Amino acid sequence: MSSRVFNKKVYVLPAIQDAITAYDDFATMDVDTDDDSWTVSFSDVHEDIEDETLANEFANFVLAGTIQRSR
Amino acid sequence: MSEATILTATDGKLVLALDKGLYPLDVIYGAAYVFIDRAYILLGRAGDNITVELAAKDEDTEDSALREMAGDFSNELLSQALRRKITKANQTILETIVSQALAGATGAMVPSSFDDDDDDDDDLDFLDDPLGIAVPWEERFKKRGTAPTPAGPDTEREAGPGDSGGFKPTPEGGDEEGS
Repeated sequence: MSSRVFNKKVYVLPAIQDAITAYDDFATMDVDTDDDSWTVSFSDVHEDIEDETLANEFANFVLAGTIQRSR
Repeated sequence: MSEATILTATDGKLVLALDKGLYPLDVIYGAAYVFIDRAYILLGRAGDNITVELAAKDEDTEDSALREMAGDFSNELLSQALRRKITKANQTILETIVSQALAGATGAMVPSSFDDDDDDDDDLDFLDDPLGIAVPWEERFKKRGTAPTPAGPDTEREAGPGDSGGFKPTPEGGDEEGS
């Protein structure tokens, strides 16, 4: 199972929420929160997509959303 | 650390550490956004530094190509940093230009004398000359009958010979050219 850690000082939560909505059809995502970061875990990934590829694309989506919100 | 440092480079993935004092987060955002179509990018923090995890989208990418991409990323960081510096330096000018453009677009800067709502000028014929613009300077001067007095410190300055391209008329309307 793949996961990605998003630091709270670098990423913003709305960007993660948008990404979860966008990738909802391709995997099940769980978000764990601690003091410094959000960790998104991916399970039940669509059979046509590799776990790592999905996680990487998800991370890029979150990064783009964060950057767009920071401007 | 004073520059982008490669922490690890394994399995088609490369991790850079960036000095946050040298590269503010906005600069890193800008560079990451440029590379987002070429690589998978994950940002993180390691103490006071920002880490950038670069993974090529093409699985066949060799380590040398990945390191080259890291170099390009570093160059983009410098470009973004310079751009940010120039933007900050010219911020006042930019704001002034934009505010004046917006004010002009809304009509706020147009003097009231130019306002089209004033219909007083509509009655004028094209031959009318309410400001006396068509009256030759010599005729105006003749009517006064005296030479213009030098403007003192407290007197209001009127048009003189120096204002007509150097033409200097005689007091009684004599013709200097002798014709």
